[in-house]
Amino acid sequence: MNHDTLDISAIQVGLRTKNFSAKEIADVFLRRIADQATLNAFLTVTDREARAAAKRTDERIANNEPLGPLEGVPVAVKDLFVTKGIRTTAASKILDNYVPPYSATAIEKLEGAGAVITGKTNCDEFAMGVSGESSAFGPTLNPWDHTRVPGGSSSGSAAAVAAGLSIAAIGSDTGGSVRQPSAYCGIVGVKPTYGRISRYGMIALASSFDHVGTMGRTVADAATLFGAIAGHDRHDATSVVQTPVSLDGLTTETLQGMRIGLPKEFFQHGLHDDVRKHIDHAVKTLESLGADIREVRLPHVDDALAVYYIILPAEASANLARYDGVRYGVRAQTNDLLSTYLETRRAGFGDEVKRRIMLGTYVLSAGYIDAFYKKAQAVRALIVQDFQRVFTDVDIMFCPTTPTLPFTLGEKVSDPVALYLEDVYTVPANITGLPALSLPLAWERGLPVGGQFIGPHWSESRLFAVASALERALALPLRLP
Amino acid sequence: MHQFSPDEIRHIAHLARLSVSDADLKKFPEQLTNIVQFVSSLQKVKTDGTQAIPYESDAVSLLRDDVVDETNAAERVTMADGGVSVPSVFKTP
Repeated sequence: MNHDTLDISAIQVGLRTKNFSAKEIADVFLRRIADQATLNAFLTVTDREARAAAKRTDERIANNEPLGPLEGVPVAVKDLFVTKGIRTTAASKILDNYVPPYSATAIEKLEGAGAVITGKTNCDEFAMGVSGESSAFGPTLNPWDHTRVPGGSSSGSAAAVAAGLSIAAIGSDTGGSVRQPSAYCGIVGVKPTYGRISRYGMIALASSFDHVGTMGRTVADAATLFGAIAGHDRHDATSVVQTPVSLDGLTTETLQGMRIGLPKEFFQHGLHDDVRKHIDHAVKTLESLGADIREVRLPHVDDALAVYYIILPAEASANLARYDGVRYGVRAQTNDLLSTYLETRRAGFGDEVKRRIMLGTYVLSAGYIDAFYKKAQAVRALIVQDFQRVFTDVDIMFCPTTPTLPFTLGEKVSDPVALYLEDVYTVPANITGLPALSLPLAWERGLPVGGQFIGPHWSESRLFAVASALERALALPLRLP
Repeated sequence: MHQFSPDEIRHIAHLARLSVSDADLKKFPEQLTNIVQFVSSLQKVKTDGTQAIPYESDAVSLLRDDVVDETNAAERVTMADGGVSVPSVFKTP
């Protein structure tokens, strides 16, 4: 058995033909996690629970019981998802000692599908960041180059999959936090249509932007994980009843006549040549597969990042008001209630979290709410209209995931605006609630480059099929750093 | 362009129930000024007649029946005398 090229489908076949056991698979991946602790991809490794889950899979196989679609598959989980009885920190000191009394719906669905959850992965604190560097527990390293960032905020999940410490992972995507680190680590990352995957038990950052996303080394793996956790959930009032995603097109879809739009605004200033040349090559490949490539315009998309950095801090400042030292996590020892609030939050939150809470408080305050918050919601409506108009002319859009290759650790840490610009191509899908997927296109000077597909609402089946067609045509070998 | 002063930062921080250190007051005014300058680019966008939207989806949210239900958390939180145990917030005279 070659562990380096294992995917979900190979694990399912191998377990069912008794070529190997779930215990053997769990042991291999838990050992790798321990061997590569320097990456700092995991905050908590759940060895005991993982071995127990693998044992249950082996028992089901021995007893000829029905098996799930993720039976025996090692899956890593961003430490933003609450896990019953297992420490959940959101990579913040303020939740350092928090042990949740329940599990997120996504976690329960993974377990129900037979997955072996190997641990809780590092991330930017409360998912606020694009580099993994705002974690209170230290940055995660990019497996392809340890001097560079893995992207963020789902830094540990992306690094774990890329380094072969896990077959697949889940993360949260509020402004690109699944797709951007997937691009930087050379894996596939996908965010759903808003409402497709329940967010119950995913610690809230900005509720109108937050999505659960999945990651794998192939489109098929990310899609299989996606299929296992999607669906309406009575615990999340924003989740929606929809026809389930079909994975049938993954191997059969041809791109003959598929109208693929290239949004002109995504190919202008700021796009680095190292990325552009591989995007251009991917476009030629799509064309050679029969796609009808069209340039499209999104006149308001240049304002997406400004919209995002007004509405996000506004929503975050409200969502994070609950961390007051009374109900959750760490509590500062003081003499009165106000001091408890002030001191707990001062000691518990990092700088990026404090900046965004203050910014949100400012844009929602009397005298500024019209100029900032309400203005941003109006521009958001214009951006949504831009995308609706374009999707009457094309079936799907293709663009870069990030403007640059992964940058070096510490390079942008003191310049928040420079960091925010990293999400320029990923934020629009969160503002509009559209499904989007990042696919590895090439390795440039040893570093991965990602391309992004964005589809209309509820078009995930098409998104997976088109990405899979490009993946087959590019035929990049599955390899580990 | 608006420049945040240390006093303003202290005031906003207090509204957000954060206490800020002297070191914070050296870096936050400039950083927040830069961010607000960045997002102020929206002021030039024409939005007359555009209805602001709080959500991007036209999907209808499904609400469950408003009936009392067991939460799966109930038996796990710290219970004391049938209630949830938190620190006292009122001083006894």
